[in-house]
Amino acid sequence: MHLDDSSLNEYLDGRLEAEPARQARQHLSVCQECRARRDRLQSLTASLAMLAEVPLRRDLVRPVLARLGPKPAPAFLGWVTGFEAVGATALATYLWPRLAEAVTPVVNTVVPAAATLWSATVVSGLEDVWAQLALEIRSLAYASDLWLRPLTIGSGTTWPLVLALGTVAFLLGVLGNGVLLRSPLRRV
Amino acid sequence: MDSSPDRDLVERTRRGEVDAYGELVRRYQTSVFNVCYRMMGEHQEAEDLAQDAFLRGYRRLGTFDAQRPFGPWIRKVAANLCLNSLQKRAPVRLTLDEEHDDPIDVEQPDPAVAHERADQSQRLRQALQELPPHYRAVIELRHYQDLSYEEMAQTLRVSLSDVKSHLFRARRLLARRLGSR
Repeated sequence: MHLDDSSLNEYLDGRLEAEPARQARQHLSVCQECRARRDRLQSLTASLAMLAEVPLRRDLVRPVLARLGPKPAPAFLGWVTGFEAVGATALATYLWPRLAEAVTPVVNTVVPAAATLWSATVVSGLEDVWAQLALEIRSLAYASDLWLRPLTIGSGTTWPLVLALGTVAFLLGVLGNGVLLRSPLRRV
Repeated sequence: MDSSPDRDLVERTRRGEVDAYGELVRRYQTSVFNVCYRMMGEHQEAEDLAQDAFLRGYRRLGTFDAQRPFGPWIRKVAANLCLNSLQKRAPVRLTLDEEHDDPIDVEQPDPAVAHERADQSQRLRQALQELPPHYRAVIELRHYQDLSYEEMAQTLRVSLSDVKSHLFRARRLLARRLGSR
């Protein structure tokens, strides 16, 4: 009885256990037909091994890199963005009402002066708009004090902490948008 | 040219250094291309698939164990990609005579022809192209990438018995086709 295909292949691939391998070897020593099949498979293996490598016609490095696209942003940039948002909100909340209040006397001076140049209807309209804006500013200032109360330090001063937050947020913004998010492809 | 070990290049790529991956591509492009060329049989298609293999490798670099060699891994990625591509094509049909399980013919090929290496390579490539996709894949993985049966089963996501039957039949078909020409 001849070796079946599975046994012969597994014998040649070195997968048979010691005893089946010994039996296969013994059979091959006495069976010309199985030896011929083995030789044929070994010849095929040798032919496959001799198949020469084909050279590339062009370098693949550039086309591959061009198709990679930017690498996803690292996870820590999410925290940077979050901190930027908190800092920017604190800064805007603190500064905007105060800036607006600082502007109020200027507007109160400019509007009556403008009355001498423009028609009464236009001035009256401007006054209405300003009155509405001033109301909004006052409510914002109140809300600002309320939101920033947790950040109050020492004798009730808020601005150092807000300024620090805003500065760090600004620096993170510059760093995040300038350096960390720079496309690595530009360096290739 | 960067002489860093592959492992360092992999780590640097993971940190966002794309040029480190470029060096890996430069090192392995010929072997990856040849995987594709043996499986696809067409130069341009093999080049395109080699590029795709490197792209897939880049995207899956997070799952790659950097303690292992990069070359065999990227060549397996290429083999799988080629197999997927071949499976989308029209199926290769085998004649009933080719598919049955008779032992290999014992006739020897003409020795004069067998010794013309260039011609033999051509015939071998032609014979490989005539194999069904899975048969081509197991020949590639076993004979060119030196994978064990178990590794082939894992790479191709098929059972061990399928690997064996594909490999033995592929060899029989190749031997028969090479012997009959």
